[in-house]
Amino acid sequence: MGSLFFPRFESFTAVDNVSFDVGEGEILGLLGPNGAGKTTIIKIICSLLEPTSGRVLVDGAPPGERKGEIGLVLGPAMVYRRMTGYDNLRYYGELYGVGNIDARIRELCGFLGISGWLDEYVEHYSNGMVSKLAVARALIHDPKVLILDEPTLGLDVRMAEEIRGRILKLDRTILLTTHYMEEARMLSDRVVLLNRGRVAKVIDDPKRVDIREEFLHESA
Amino acid sequence: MKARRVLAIARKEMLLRLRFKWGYFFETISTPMRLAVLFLFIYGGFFSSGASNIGSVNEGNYIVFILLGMALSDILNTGFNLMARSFLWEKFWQTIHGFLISPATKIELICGIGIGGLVDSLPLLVVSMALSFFLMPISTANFLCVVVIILFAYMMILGFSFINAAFVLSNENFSAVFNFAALVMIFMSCFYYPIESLPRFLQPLAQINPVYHANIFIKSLWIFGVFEAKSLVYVFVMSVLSLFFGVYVFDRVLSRMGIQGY
Repeated sequence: MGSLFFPRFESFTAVDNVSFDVGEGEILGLLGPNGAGKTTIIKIICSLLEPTSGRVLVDGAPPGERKGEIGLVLGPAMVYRRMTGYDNLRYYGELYGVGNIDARIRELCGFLGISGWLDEYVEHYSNGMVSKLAVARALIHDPKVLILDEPTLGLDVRMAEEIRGRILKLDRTILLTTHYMEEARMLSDRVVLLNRGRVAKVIDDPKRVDIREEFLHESA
Repeated sequence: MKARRVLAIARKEMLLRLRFKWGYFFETISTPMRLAVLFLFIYGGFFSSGASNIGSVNEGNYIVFILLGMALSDILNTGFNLMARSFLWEKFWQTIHGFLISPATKIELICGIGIGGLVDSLPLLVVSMALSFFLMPISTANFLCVVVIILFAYMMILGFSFINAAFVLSNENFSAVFNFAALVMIFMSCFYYPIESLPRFLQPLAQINPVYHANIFIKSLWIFGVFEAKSLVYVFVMSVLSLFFGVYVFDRVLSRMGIQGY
């Protein structure tokens, strides 16, 4: 009964001594098994979590001072299912001070192929549509840096391929976390392999390396 | 502070709130009315049995006393629950990060949610004020003073509510304790009964309660035509302090504990 009323929360180190940089226009993949610390790193970069030590710089400044330059996709999260797609994008556009929101929404939704669904409540969208809307939401303010945390999680192969294709056309600095090796290989210019909160290996040319082999070796 | 952001947050709150309208009607209209009707019966029975007054409340003013109490109690209860409810939803919908990483400030968030929340309490506020005016008309200047102190009191309660919102996001245990503490503040606000009906040892607690001062300012002005300047200043100072204190605590709690429990 004691554990029912007073559950114990053990503290643990989610990320330890991690250091890497992402060049302008580069797509850096963070690859690791579940619990490797990928999402924790992203939350620290977006100033959602405060690290106990160390620092993060985005374009030379702390992320809190670069909020308008960062776009974040946390899987299908951060989309209001009780609002229409249009109202979601309009809300975030206004938060970021986007001018001519309607034109920006039309442009993004045309690019992502969700224009026909904008006036529907998101609760009626398929998972793939929600993921596309989440990407549109992150891009609404045209950020310099895009952070994608598992952008194709739970999607069927065709939809995942379609979203990957759109990501490749984005032409901006992207930090991508995934545990799909093929996704990391296809999209990334470099891949950082994480294991138990540490950088296990940096792969400089992921298209020429067997990432699966490296991944299994490092996460063993 | 950018008005566009504040209005965007307010609009979003209203859209979410009005997605299912029946719940909106029953929650916002019926709950405070239930309490007010109960007190109308009690006071009505009390005065019809021959009693002349309870403190400053008498047969001639008890209906307005209760209506004004209902108006203030409704808007402050709404304000207090507003942030916690909104943040709890957003925590489980996993939309809260969208705001936290945006350039919008916490003050913009408080103002936006506060304006959006008025959709909950405005209908009852307007009805109870209109009925009070019909039963006991007051001058335009006095009416404006009442509106101003309601706004100050609402701002003040939103500041407290923001602290509760931080606990809702980080550790709901603390939120439960905070809600319980707020219950004491509600009892000590004397919305539906005069301070004289409280036991003597509790009356000093009411006297330091800023919500009580908002309440007494409105009733003194509306029913007796007395302008309680000290109460107005006290509520104004507390409203500014509570907003900044709320933001400070929110930032400290969130950065230390993060979002938990979803």
